[in-house]
Amino acid sequence: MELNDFVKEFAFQFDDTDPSEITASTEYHELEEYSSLIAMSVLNFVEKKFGKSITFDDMKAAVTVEDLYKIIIEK
Amino acid sequence: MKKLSNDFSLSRYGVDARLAEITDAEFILSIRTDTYHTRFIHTTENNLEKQIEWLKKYKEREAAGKEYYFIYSQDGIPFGMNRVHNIFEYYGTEGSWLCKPKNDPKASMASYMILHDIMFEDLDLNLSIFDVRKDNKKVWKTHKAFGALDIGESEIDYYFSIYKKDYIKCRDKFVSFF
Repeated sequence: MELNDFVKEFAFQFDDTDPSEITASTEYHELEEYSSLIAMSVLNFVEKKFGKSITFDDMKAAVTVEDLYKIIIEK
Repeated sequence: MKKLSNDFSLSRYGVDARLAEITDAEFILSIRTDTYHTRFIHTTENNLEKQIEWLKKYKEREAAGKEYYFIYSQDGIPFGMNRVHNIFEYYGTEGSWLCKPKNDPKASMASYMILHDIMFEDLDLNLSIFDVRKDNKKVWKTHKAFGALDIGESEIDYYFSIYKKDYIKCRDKFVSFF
């Protein structure tokens, strides 16, 4: 999965946030809607789409959506 | 049906759980009166005396083994709460899950899983039955990820059940996220 597709899938995990607000450089921890439930949803979709398991600590370590993508790719 | 002792506590997934005490009234009220994060649950009047009275009555239900209200802490700082109530024979109702705004997602999910671990292991219940506001999409999606089955709906709520066997199967997968 390319970065652009990942950003779209990432944005799809949010219910109330306009997807156009989320880009590769978005610092997702700062989004008002970002919560444990969104994090769970992202962890789930990463496992399904990439066949790789990342952790809550990986999500905490990444600042932007692109950072998270790089962590997944490097796993 | 098993009961928890009045000094029950559990440390798991990096957080600490214990039973709510009357001295938690202020903390509980501070979380339950946050308008954004409580918009999908029953409203609570911002009245400390009423919260204390509610907790006194809760402690009677706790002593009878009918209800358990948990407070979660990380590094000694409380961040969240949830409870199981209407416990009868092999089932109970879960609910009142709230955490501080912008709490560490890992700790918040730990509190969700610990409640179920306690229900299905420490209390040895077999089934959780509960409702979730239809608009509270992220919460009911999370319950479904943990094995919740649709059992009905009203105009505003979905009704769900989670069986112990389904939760355990899902938990084993989600533990890897910790």
